[in-house]
Amino acid sequence: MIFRTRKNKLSIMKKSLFIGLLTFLIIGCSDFGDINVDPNNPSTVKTDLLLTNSLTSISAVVGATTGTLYVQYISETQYTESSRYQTSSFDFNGWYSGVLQDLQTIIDLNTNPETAPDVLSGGSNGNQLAVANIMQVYYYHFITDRWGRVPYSEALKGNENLTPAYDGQDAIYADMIQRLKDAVASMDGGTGVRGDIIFGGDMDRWEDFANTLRMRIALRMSEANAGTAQTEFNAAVSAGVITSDVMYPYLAEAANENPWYSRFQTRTDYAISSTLADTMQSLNDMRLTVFANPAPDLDNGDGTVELSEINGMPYGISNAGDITNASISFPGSAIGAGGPSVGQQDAPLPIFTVAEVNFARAEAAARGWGGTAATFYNAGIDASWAQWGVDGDAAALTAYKADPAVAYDANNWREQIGYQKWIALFPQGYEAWSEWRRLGFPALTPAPDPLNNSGLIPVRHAYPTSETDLNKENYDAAVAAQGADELDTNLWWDQ
Amino acid sequence: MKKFYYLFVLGLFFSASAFAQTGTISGTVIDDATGDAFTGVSVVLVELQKGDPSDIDGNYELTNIPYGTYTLRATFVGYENFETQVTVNSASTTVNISLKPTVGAFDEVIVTAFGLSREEKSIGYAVQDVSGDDLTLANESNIVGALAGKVSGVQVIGTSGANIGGSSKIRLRGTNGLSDGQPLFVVDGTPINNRSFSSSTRGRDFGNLAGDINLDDVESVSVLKGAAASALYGNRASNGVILITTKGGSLGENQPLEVNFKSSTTFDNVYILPEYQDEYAGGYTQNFIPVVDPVDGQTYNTLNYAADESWGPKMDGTTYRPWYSWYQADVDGDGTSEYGKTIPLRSNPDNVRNFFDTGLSFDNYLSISGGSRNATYRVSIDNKQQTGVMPNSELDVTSLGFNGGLRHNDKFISNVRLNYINTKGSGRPPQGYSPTQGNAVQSFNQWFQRQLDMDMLRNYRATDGTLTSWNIRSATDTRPLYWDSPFFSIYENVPEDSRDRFYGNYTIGYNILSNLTVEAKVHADIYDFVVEDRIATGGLEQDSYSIAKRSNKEINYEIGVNHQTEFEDFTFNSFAGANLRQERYNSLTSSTVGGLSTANYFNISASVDRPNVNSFKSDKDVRSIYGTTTIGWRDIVYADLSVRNDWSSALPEDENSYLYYGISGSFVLSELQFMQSQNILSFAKLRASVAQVGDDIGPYQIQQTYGSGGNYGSSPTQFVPNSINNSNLKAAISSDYEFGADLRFLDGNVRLDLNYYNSVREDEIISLTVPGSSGYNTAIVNAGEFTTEGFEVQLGATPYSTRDWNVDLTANWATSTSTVNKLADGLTSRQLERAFFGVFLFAREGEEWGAIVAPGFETDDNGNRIVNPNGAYSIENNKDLGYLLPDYTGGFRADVSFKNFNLGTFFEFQKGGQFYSITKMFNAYSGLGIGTVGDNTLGNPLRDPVLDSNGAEVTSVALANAASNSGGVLVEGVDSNGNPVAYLTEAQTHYARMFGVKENWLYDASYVKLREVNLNYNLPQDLLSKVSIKRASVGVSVYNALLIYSSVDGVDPSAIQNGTTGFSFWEGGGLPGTRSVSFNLNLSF
Repeated sequence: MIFRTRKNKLSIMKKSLFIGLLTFLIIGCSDFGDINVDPNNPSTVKTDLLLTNSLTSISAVVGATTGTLYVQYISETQYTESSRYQTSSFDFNGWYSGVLQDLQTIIDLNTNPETAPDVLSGGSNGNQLAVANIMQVYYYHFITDRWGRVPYSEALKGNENLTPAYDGQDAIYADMIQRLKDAVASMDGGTGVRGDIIFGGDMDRWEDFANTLRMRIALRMSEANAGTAQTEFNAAVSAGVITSDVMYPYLAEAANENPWYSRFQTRTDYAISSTLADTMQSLNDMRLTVFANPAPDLDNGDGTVELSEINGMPYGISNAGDITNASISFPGSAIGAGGPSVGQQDAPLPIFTVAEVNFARAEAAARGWGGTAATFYNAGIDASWAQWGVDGDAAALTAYKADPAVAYDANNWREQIGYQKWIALFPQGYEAWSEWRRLGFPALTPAPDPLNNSGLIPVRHAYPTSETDLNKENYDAAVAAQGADELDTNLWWDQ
Repeated sequence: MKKFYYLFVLGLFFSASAFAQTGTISGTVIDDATGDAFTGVSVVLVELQKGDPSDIDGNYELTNIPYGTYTLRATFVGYENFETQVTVNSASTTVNISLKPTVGAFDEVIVTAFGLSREEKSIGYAVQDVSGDDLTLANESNIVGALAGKVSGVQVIGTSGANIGGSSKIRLRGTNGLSDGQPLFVVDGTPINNRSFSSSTRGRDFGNLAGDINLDDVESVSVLKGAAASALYGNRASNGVILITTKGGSLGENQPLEVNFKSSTTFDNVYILPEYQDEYAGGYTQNFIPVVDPVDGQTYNTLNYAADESWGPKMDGTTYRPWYSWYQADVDGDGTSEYGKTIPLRSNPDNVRNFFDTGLSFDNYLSISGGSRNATYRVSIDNKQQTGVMPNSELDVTSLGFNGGLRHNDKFISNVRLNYINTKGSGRPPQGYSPTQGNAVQSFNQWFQRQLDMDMLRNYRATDGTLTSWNIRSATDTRPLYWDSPFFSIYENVPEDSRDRFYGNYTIGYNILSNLTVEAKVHADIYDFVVEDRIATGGLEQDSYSIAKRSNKEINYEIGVNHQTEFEDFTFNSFAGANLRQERYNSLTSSTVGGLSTANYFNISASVDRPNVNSFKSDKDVRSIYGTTTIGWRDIVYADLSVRNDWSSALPEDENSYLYYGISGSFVLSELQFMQSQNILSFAKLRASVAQVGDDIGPYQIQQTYGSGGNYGSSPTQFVPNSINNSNLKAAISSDYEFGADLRFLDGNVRLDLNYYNSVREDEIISLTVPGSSGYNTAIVNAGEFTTEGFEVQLGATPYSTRDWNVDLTANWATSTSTVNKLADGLTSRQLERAFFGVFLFAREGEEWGAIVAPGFETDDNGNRIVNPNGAYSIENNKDLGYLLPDYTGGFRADVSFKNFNLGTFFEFQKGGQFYSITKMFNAYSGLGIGTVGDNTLGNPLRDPVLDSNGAEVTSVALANAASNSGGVLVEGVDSNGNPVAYLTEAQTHYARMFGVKENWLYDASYVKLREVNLNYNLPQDLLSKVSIKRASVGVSVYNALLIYSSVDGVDPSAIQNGTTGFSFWEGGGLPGTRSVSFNLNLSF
């Protein structure tokens, strides 16, 4: 009725209709329907896909470089700051928000009676709980052995607790052992887990894995709580440990390739350390011919690697100076290294080896926990040579075991096992670092031009700097209980 | 233009009713000052609400007027109102009108929210206008860059000119919240997306999208800084609004056709580079490395080619084998192999400069505009073709603009504004610190050998096809180690991008009653953006190809009602509206994985492994209603009320509605009687406002979802996201108040505007960092209280004005402080950004925003640096190193015209603030910078070996114990007991250590810059009239003319933005500053 003009009446009607409709749309409702439902990310989750993702993080444990530098398996070539302990704070946040939270979600979904029936496509509830718990312990063990006291019992609770307290390492160790036992107990004989890239859902092998991990954890507290260590060690061994090497399976694809392969794609930052090379050369240890490639200047070009063709890079000097790439040895393709066309993109890396089990049992025997130390010790060397495929030359192996510096000597078990385990654990840097801290062997000389205050090889990692901002109260309590938050503070099992 | 707008509005008031006995009123309108005919003056019979604008000859005619007595009113902005009583009692009545300009033309019109033109005196908050001509003083084509220094309280963080078409960032009034948001850009009422895009691989910057706005089409820009000004624009206006009005045609009988042609040619050159040392060649030690050539068995001097640092031998002319003498094939393409060649080792001081080209751009612009009694139009076309200083970089921008208005009848108008822009880029330079080989400039400033001859690298493929590089592994292994030839990256790894952008609006207006109009509008901003990036086969990096397609569409449907009325001494001007906004974004990005199956076959299907393909979609709707009313009393006091309610689809359903308001007022002191008797203060206005603006979030942050990870072989993966979504979010409301005064003296020859503001933002929606041990890294929460407070001054003067001369000076200055009053519960510090190599930016409770924390010099209580016995500065980790934001910013402009010449100069300055220079840090670390050479305190070259009193070579020695011929860098300070100590430390060791002392690489961001200079000559009118040209001018302009003051050499503190992300507090791998010289021609027919 407002529109009295005769002309354009129809179009006015249309427009007024449009306007009216628009007004209605705007004022009429605050209901937006499904527009805010995220089309980019699923609102539900499959536990087998979570498990696959969780297992790929093992690569970051077994393929990391920091530990390989601390124990001087590897020397940095030109940019040597990490070798010289420049970084003190290392970040653990990603471990919690990443893999631990993924595993926690598997545990929660299988525990909650409402959701447990919905996630059976990932395997039986008991089996999923077992594997998720075993893997959480695996990662927690790795974490606590780097930082010491860490958030544990209050961790992974999301909004319910945004500032988790730190637990003592003794309490974490006790709980980890208990959880491993519970995990094995929860295996229900039902469908094996799906999405398992390590054992393909073979629950028996997961049981062995859990026992081996329990054995490793028990041995680690040999000096902090010898009684429990002995009991749990022996119980784990009797429950059955691994009988073949457990390797992380890399793939011949860029997204899941061996990290040593990646590192040598465009750069040559990591050489074999002279500490490792010199020791192994002096013992005629043929494993070095697999660990390392020949130095180009020393290579006689006959296609086989000889110990004499290998030259290690001095460890921890301020830079390479005039040491050229041609004069030093880089890691070999057995661990994936060597770059495009030379390296092995899908070379697996060890998680647990039979050699480690044997050296652990040798040490247990030497500590008087039962068994014959020398037998396990020699079996460890045999297993390790076999693992690296250099056991074909039986004479060399025999001569090696007979070398006075190698042959088992009960009075010197700590040093001997220390050295042999060090070599056998290559290239598991973090595990070797823990064992070096615990046993005190091999005797390593710190980087000659250190960048940390003490100039010593680190014995722990400092907490991420974010904790002083975000979780200060708990951080302060942890530091008060454990000691200064720096690289030189000994952990509970390393006093 | 403003006249034109008023005509449109007033044109709506015409009515078409007819009566029996009628007459006609007609006459001529003239400008009282000049006597010229006055076009476009609104002449209205108040009682009948009937009017007509005067035509080109100043004539108006009101027909069909019933006999009677009426009030005839003629108004024009900047002129006093004319009012007279007219009695119509015959067929025709003549009333001639003469309009007097108001003194100093103080009734300026400002375009405010929703394109409402408002008399400036009625506005109760600070708005600052920049005319289109002032924006384009020099040929800066990005609107953000062009605003630098021209508006008080605007800080622009520019980018290097080498980054053609790259992103500039803007901060209005310091930072406005924890997240340092960007203002909303609105062109003719249409919100314009200003997102920045960069490539994920090597930081290539594809520009901020507001850069699409063609500045030649811009009539004016209003910068709405506070909430009172911007609140009507809703939630996105919480960081202010940049309101742009484009040019249109003019309404009126027989409007002449106006054709404008502009052409400019611009030359860009690198003008700022770090100062390099030219004494020592590449290497890690000063020794030549002897190498036996396997061909001739001779021993030669070689450098450590594998080193990408310059701690090598002195460039003293010693004969040696350069890198290219080890290639069997011909390296430089001259037909003979260089194998075995020896040359003297000498410096190449200009090698880096020689890498760059002279950039060249041609910009041609044509516009045609005109109008008639019922229609206006303006069309423009612009093409800019640019090659950058970075070799092989090109940008080609074509834009079309159309602005048309129709008065269908006395009641109906409609208006269409359309803009289309096509942008094509190729070879946009890599930027930022990159661990891979792609960034040539990074190499020059961080990883290079100073002796290199750039020309030997140009021909990066030897005649046998192998790629050559200076950085070979060794004399006998000529494979590159860390770096390919910089020219390989530039010529073979070529990215391409193409964007089609359309924005515009359609408006229909209907005049319901003489003082009541309705307008309905549809606004659209749509773009399609395709970016391809390539890494060629054969270089150090794995070859790859990626393509990203992004489409964005924002449509706003808007309806508004405008009502004006008067009641005795009061005037009321009200506006009510509703808006429906739809944002639709989607992208499809894919990249090859594991290399290309066929060399240089750039296609996703060439992916060796399963390619990464990712689709993304984002939809959001916001519905709003709003209203505003301005009440005026006798042109002296104005009060303005506004209110808006938004409903956002991104917020939780029960919290998705939020309301906010604004109140402002102005008091025009100079209108008071007693003020009229003096002639010093010609105009005075006081203003005050208090207002709020709400802010919400992007979509999909409410419900918990899961992430899809990369496949393991053929097994898909999922993960739990690291962010806790929050279903209890509510809108954030910021509120501010401001006071100001607008004072003009001596008939407006001196102008002063002062403004104080205080803004508080509460419950901002932020992604809060939480301890990872909670299972998440971030939580989306409402948190915090944040205050920004500041003061802005604008000063203008026309000190000298005669027939031939005119001098105009303007200056603006602003200071602001942004304080974090409160963060989330239990949290006192929030990390905003971590720059490369560990320099952190924090928001900390109770402190100024932007605290910089990094390892610094440990000092004693007296501020002396503590030096360790090994000759190293002691390091304090996590040292507080001050704040990011500047103390004040501003600009100064001087325009001098003499007869037909006009000289404009524009200076820009910033005091305080800090930035972290990764370039400078590496320049020292790698022995490339000038600071790593020279003599030490003993008068010996500081790179010479450090010798103790026995002459033994050591890393460091106490100065007192040093041999008289010892080299080394002096490290002075106190020991841990506070006693003064001094050491000489070996240079390379010293700078490697300084790498860890980040404080040393923080620089004061103060600068004074002669940003623009422009000299113009208008060709004489009598000459032009003979060739029927209305106006013609020629000119030359310089952009980035001179960095007058800076605390840091070799880096331009005003252009540190690299890439598109972050808080702009560091530079690294930054492109060099460029200077542009343009030659301009401007013709109007």
